[in-house]
Parts: sequence; C-alpha cells; structure tokens
Amino acid sequence: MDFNKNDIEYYLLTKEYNSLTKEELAFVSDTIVSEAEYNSLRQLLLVMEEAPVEELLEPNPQIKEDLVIDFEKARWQKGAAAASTAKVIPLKEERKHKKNGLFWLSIAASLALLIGLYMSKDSFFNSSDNQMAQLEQKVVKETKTPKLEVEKQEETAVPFEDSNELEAAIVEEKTNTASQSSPIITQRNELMTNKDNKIAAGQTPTIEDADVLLEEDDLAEETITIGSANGKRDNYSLDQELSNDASNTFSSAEVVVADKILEKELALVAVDGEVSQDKNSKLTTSVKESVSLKGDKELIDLLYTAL
Amino acid sequence: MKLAKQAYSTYTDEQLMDEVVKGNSRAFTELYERYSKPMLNYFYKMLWQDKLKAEDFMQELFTKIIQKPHLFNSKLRFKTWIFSIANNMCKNEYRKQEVRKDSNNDLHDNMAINDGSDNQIKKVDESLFNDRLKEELKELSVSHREVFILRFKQGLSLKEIAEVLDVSEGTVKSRVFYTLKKLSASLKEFNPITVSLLLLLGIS
Repeated sequence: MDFNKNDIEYYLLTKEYNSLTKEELAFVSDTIVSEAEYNSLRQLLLVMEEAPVEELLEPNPQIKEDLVIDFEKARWQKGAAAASTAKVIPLKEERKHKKNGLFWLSIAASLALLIGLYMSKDSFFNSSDNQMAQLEQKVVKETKTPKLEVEKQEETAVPFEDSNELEAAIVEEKTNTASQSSPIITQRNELMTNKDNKIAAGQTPTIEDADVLLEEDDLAEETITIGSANGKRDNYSLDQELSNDASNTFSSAEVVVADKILEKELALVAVDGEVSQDKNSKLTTSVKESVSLKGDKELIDLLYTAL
Repeated sequence: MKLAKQAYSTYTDEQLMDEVVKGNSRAFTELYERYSKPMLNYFYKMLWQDKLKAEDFMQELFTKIIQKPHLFNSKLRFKTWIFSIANNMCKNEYRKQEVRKDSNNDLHDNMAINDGSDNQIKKVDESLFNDRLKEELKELSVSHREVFILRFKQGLSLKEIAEVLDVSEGTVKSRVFYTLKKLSASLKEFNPITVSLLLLLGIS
C-alpha cells in the first residue's frame, strides 16, 4: 500500500501518536478523536502490512483468447454496420440537407429578388421613363429630319428659297428668252413698252394693248400657280420649256409651259406624299413602341404589388 | 511487432482506450494485460472469493468494453471508469443473491461458509489474519466493504474511490475510517505483538 502525506494512513503507519507534530496532530485530529483510537488503527494497519501478501489470482489464458475473438467480431460488425449506414443513412440526411438547402436557397433568392426590385425600382422606372423620353425625342427628330431633308433637296434643286424670287426669275427668263429668240416676243415687248408708255403719258391703251394685257394676266396666273405649287424646277427644264415656247406661237407656248409645270407639281406632290407616308409609318412604329413600354411598366407595377 | 508492443506499453490507459474505440485490437490486448489481474482479484474479493464467478465477471466486464467502448468518457480516468463498472456489476450480483437468498434459504451463507471453512483449513498456518479479515469483511455492509477493498487492496486514492462510487471524497473518507475502526475492534487480538508471538510459537 502506497500512501502519501495527504493520507492519514501514512502517519498511522510511520509515526506514533506522541511523535506527531502539531500540524500533523491537527491534520489527524479531523478524523481520529483520541490517542487510543489512533493506536488501535495503527495496530490494524501494521498487521495488514506485515501479514503475508495474498497470492493474486491469475486469469485463465482462454479468457483472453475469447475476448480477442469477440473484439475482432465486434470490429467487423461495426465496420459492416458503418458501411451500410454510410450508404443508407447519409442518403436520407443528404436529402434532408438538400431539402433544407433548397428551401433556404429559394428564400434567399426570393429575398434577393425583392431587395433587388426594391432597390432598382426607381432607377428601372426612371430608365423606362428615360427610354420613353428618348423615344419621344426620336419621334420628334424623325418628324423634323424629313422636312430638313426635303428642304435640303429643295435647296439643291432650286437655288431660290422664296417663291416670289422664283416667280420673278421665271418672268425674267421668259422675257429674256422671248426678247432674244422669238420675233413675236420682240414684237410683244415693243407693244408692251408702247402700252406702258401710253399709260405713263395718261393715254388709254388700244385693242392691241388689250391683247397684250390679257396675255400679261395669263402669265401672272401662270406664275401664281407655280408659286402656290411650291414645286421643283431646274434651270435646264425651264430653258427647254422656254425654247419650246419660242418655236411655237406665244399663247400656245405658254399653255404648254403651264401644263408641264402642273405635271411636275403633281409629281412633287406625289413625292411629298411618299415622304409623308414614310413619316407616318415611322411615327406609328414609334408610338407603338411607346405604347408597349407603357404596357410593360404597368405589368411591372402589377408584379411588384403582387410580390 | 515487438516495437508496436513496446509502443503501446508506453501509452496511457486513456490513449489505449481511444485506440480501442477505433478498433485497435493490440490496444485492447494491452489494456487487458494491465487490468485483467486486478479486476479478477477485485471480483474475487467482492464476490465471496469465488474464483469461477470472478473469472466470469472479469470476462463479462471486458466484453462490455468491447461492445460499448464509446461509452468511455476520455475526460475521466480509465482506472476509475473500469472499477466503477466492476463495482456496479458486483452490486447487481448482490441484489440477485439477495433474491436467491430469500427464495433458496440462505444459499449465499452456505457458499461463504464452505469457501471460508476450506480456506481456514488450508491456510491457517500462513494467513490467519487474512482469513479473519476476510470473515470480518463479509460482515461489513457493501458500501464499507467496497471502500475498504478499493482503498487497501486495489490502492485507489480517496478521490478515485469517490469517482468510482460517484460519491463525495468526504463520504469515502468517513467510510474508510468507519471500516478501519470496526475492523480494529473486531481484530483486536491481532496486534503486531500478538501476531509475532503466535508466529514464534508456531500456532499459525
């Protein structure tokens, strides 16, 4: 028996009661109340110490062999069980985990979607508004640009911006060509100058003058129709017309010129019509787009309120 | 092989038990070597010096360790754990014997008488004191007997006994000294002088 100084047995076996120090006596006194008791316990422990040591029993070696076999069996069974459970139980657990994972993933995704929608709501609708505004601007531009193109075409085709200028130019050209090329026109010019002189002198014009006046009115009407038609006329065609006029009589030439001008004006009107048709189609498409965007916006509003 | 055996001999009981949990049979063999003899003798002393019963109990104890090694708490000491299992097995056996005693008209007493009488005849010369002590121990209650055996036969400290029996250290201390006082009173004639005289006279 091994005892240390923290055990009363140590003092009982090593010291007599009288040889105990004050500290040791105080320690022993917690359990042993008297010297007689101390001595009787000391005698017992000394006898137990001095008594012949009992022979310890030796275990049967067969027990060890049996136990080792049992251990191997148990290990094999545990291994098999572990293998089987590893195949079956984790699958169930995995499913559970998967379910949980999907559940939480779906919640996270829906939350993210909601937050995203909430955060981008204003910017999204602003962007759609911007798109709308851009489209509107585009529409306005498109409505403006064809006009500009037409104007440009007009500028390139006719250097005269004003219809009055054009009128004056035509009249001037007519007079020039008539004076230069046709004797009838020269005669007419002479008559006209005579008439003008007579008017200036306060005299009444004659019948010949009246014819001249009638022709002058026709020319005025012709120029008015040209100005109101707002059409295109190039110098080449005008020269051609005037040259044709020169080859015919004065009145018939003017009629032919007026017809041709009318035809060209009709052609111009047709061109304008085509341009306007293009414009209309573009406008309708843009309006359709804006309408569809508005519809989308309404749908998004509905979705947001539903969420 | 020899190296492995030497390595396991340096392991603590707790380390060996961890290996047993992992399924290491060599670790189990090492633990068996360390504790088979003390446990057999503990059962022998606790269970009426019946060697066959002690062997059966010892085998059953190690079988329990094989089957449920995970029940070992590595925070505790293996020594106290295995003694606590053995002590519980003994208590269960006492209960069984109590039932049999009531039904079979004092079987336990007959067993004790037979075993004690044989020992007295055989070993009267060698260990008169031990025989008397055994007899006196049988008279003690289970709680005092187990404390006495654990303290003076198995060499456990008061703290370890407290862990094994799951009681306070103060309770163990009071039980130890109660048993000592009772034995000293009953074995009064066996003081060192008396024993020496008996040995000199050749009576024992």
